[in-house]
Amino acid sequence: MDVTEMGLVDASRRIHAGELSPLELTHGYLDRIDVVDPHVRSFSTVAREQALAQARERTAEIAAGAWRGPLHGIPIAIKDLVATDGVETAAGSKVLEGHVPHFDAPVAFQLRAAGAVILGKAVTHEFAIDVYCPPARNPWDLDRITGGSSGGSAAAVASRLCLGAVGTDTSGSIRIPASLCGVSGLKPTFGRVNCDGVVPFSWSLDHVGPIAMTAADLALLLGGMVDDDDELFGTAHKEPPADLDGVRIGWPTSYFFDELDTRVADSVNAAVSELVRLGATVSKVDLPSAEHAIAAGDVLTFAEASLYHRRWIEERPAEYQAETLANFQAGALILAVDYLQAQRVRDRIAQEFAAAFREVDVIVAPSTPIQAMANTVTRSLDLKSRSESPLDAYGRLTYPASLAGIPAVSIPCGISEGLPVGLQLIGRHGQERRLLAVAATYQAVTDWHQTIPTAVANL
Amino acid sequence: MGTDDGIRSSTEIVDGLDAALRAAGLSREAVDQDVLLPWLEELEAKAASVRAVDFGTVWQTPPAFTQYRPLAEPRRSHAREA
Repeated sequence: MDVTEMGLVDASRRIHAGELSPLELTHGYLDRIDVVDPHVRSFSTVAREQALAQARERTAEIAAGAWRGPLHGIPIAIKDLVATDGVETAAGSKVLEGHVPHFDAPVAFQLRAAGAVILGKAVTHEFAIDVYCPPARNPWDLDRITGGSSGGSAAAVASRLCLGAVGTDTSGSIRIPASLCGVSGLKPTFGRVNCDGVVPFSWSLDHVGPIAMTAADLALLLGGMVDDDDELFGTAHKEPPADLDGVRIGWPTSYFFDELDTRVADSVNAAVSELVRLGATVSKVDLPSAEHAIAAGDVLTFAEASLYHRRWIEERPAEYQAETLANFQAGALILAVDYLQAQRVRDRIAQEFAAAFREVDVIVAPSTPIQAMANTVTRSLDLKSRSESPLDAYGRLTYPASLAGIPAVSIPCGISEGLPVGLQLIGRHGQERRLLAVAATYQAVTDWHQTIPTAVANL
Repeated sequence: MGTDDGIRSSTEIVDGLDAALRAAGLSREAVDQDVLLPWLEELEAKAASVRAVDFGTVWQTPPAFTQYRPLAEPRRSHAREA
């Protein structure tokens, strides 16, 4: 049996039962990485010896009757922005090339302590800026983008090169690649997962979260990332609710369903119909300030990023990609009053979400308005009635929840013309468990999340 | 920086770029103007649209930082579910 064919929850159960060893599982994934990753390019570093050493330790612990929990022996990848002890953390940039931390970021430390085996680092766009030349390739079509900036993490999970991955999300960098690569990705509540030791993009917007095949897997991984919620582990091992009776779904009346590709609209509409068939009720919600999300978010993000990079962009500009450098330099020219006004707009967006959540439990939206585009350099995409930059097009539906700091998950809800479509479920502050339960109920009656990407299916 | 409508043309940006860079602590030598200008124009347009959002009269006090809900949350994972 190919051990890489089983899901995270199944692998966890087998390890606990002594039917599968962490070493056997890790070997299986390292072998598959050797074959598949030259095509997908999702890993910046494969930490083979470290991973095997961890797997041997976890295997010995099981033999001695010691089980750390549901992530014991589970092979994962960690985004190249997150510091990992003894493994290069370069943030996808020449600026940090060769930088090998002597410590784990808390999120990596906690996952390791929970028993996870770190296979290596997943590639990211330079310093998480999703501009051109994405390094990873989409496993559904190798000539298309993965989305970013956690594109390596999503491509690795989709290609069955690990059972889960750590990503980061500032304006959508977990949900966008999850959507484009056909996997599940959760941006938790702001502050829920510790961002220390993670190279910042925009510290008032940065989130760390999991990417995996299913909502149940996400619950397990999130449980390993936080230290306050053991029930997440329990949630993942229970059957999801059989129906959605009593769940109130909010349907935004504007913005989130504007300028959608027809294939995305059809898949998302069908998914909402499925949620209703499962017992949920749908009512309209009004989020009028969401239309300012991209503008406000970019003002905040690039001002904060510019400050973080201030010394390097002055002293080592040649080590940045030209577009990354230009964005950080542009951020340095933002006026303080504009930054503060953007914070005020952000607060209004958060208040509108809070008001909506007095009436509904979950808000639905597409994760991205279009599917994965061809991997070509372009500054403008032609949509139905307007042109839009790729950055703005891909980020416009995920930015609002980032600005509000509330949890949001992207799950696969369709495959159209050979490419996946993502459904975004947005939840109340701090209510990841409830959000993942709705997602798990949907996934119990659909199989979009189980489809193996065509470009890697036969490798 | 900025005109009445808040959107600066390329010419205005170029004219004021050296001074703006100096004010931001950046040297002219570190900047590739051809690459920077399109991004700067785009970001300026976004700043202008944010500037145009109406928050009412001068009587309305901007919220204190503690009222920014995401920022008010503890940095570490203590946001327990209800």
